[in-house]
Amino acid sequence: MFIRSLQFRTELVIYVLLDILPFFVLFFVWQAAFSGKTEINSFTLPQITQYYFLVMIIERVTSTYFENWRATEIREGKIDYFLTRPFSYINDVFSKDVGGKLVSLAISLPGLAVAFFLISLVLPVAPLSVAPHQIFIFIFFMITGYLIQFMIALWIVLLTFWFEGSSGLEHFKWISVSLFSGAMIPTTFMPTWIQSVYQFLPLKYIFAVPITYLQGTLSLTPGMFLELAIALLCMFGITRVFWHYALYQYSSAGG
Amino acid sequence: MSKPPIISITNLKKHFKVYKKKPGLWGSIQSLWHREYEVVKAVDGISFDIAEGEIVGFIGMNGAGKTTTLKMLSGLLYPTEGQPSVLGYNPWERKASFQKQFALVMGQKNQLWWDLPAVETFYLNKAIYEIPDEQFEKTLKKLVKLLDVEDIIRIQVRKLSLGQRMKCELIAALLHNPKVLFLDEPTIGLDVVMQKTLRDFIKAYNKEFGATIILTSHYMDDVKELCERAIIIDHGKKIFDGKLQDIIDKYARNKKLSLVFSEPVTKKDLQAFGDLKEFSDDGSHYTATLLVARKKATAVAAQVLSKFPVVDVTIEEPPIEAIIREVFSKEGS
Repeated sequence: MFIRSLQFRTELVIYVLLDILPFFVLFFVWQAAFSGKTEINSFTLPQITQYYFLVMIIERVTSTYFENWRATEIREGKIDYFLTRPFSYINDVFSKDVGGKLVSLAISLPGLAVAFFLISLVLPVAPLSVAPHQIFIFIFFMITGYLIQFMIALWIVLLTFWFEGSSGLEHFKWISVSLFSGAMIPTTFMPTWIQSVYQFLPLKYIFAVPITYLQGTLSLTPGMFLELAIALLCMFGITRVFWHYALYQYSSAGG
Repeated sequence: MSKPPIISITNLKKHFKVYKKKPGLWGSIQSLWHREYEVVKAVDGISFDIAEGEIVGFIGMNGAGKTTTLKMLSGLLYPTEGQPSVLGYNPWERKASFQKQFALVMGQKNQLWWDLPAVETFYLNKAIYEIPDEQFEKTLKKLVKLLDVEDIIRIQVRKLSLGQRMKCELIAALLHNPKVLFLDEPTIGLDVVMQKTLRDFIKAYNKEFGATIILTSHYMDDVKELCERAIIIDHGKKIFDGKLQDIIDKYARNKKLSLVFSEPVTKKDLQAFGDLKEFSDDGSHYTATLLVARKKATAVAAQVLSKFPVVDVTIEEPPIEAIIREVFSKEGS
């Protein structure tokens, strides 16, 4: 019992450290890039540091990690429980993921706040001065960002109904989201072709738009909210169609 | 007037397209550009009706199509052909009003939350099925008493024995008082005492709630004790549908004559009357078992009684297991 509890606590500490570690790595990389310069592509080093700190927070709220085990449970015929009861499987995926996320946030957010305070003591991080309504809009984007990531992850899971294994697409999703959302690098640093894909896809509303809005370098327009709403509706529609046809493929393996 | 069918299926088919992989690394590489597929006819044109309150035994060898049929009746699988009707619903539509009236219990699939006590799953099912508080408490109390599980429902499921778990599975499936119950090998892996307990419970549930039950089992005792009617399927096709006694009448060719003698007899003499299955002569007890044609059983018994020093004779039907074996061997040949 003691060993199990020790293992759990150690994992928790490592888990929080792993969240913060990439932030430091990125800082030193950018510090090297800024060597001898005060500004690159209209970003100063403190602004870039602030950008990645916000990326870290959004990542914690919006990212999903259920693709692998959910795909396995479909392949192994373990979703019979939901298909024979008046309760939707997708609701189960959603509610368990949100529940897990709330627990994870409750654990990591205080740690992140302390980390931000400590980091701002030793590293040049631009202070955030935002109005309450800006925080509200930022939270709104985090919720919609989560919905976008959730539905993409769900598509990967649903592909299991057709293919023997689709969980490998999890990495494809991770790369695509990182690249075309502004999580990996601010969009102004990207090549032109990536910027045009970025403009076309709704992934920008996960990271780049809320961060640059909060940093005061982007003004939001009603058109942006309309675009986001249309994207979410389309994704929701695609998910429904996907689910409808996926069930025809279910083989309920085992038993 | 007979009751209207509560379950009705006509020409139900389920065919699976399965990939046949060649063994080894080279087989894996070849499969990248050329794949061989085979169509497996898991269920191939089955039709039957089941009336309200019936308990029907679904008998068949492994891979005969029993579970696949139950899965189509539960709405888990989409039929290749044919439209099943359960309680007047098309199961595939998975309407909540339909799902609240049936339950599927699979002996080989765990539906309870592994790391939580069974009672947590019961409360989860209460919420899912929207069972009113009063009905839930009343049914839970009754089922817990019937299965004698008061002491175990608050223990983590993973710490329970197979039999205890199966009892809790049944409770979880029955809390909403389903009108139709699909039981897929509910007694698999259980000891004889536990099998008997579950059989008694299923019988009591059927009697009390008038539930319609389809039961698949490899244990003939389950079928014999619970089901008046049996459906036998083989390779996806129905080969028999009727009373258990009719299976005996239709397929049993022989009757079993068990004989006890007061004095030694010879094997050779007995073999003249039928197929000698058992023979024992330990110097003080002399017994033999003969298989004789059903129609001649009485006459042969009379002849044996007159010719040998018989002190006891019984004429029995062969065990149902042996008859079913014979049915399958006939169909297979």
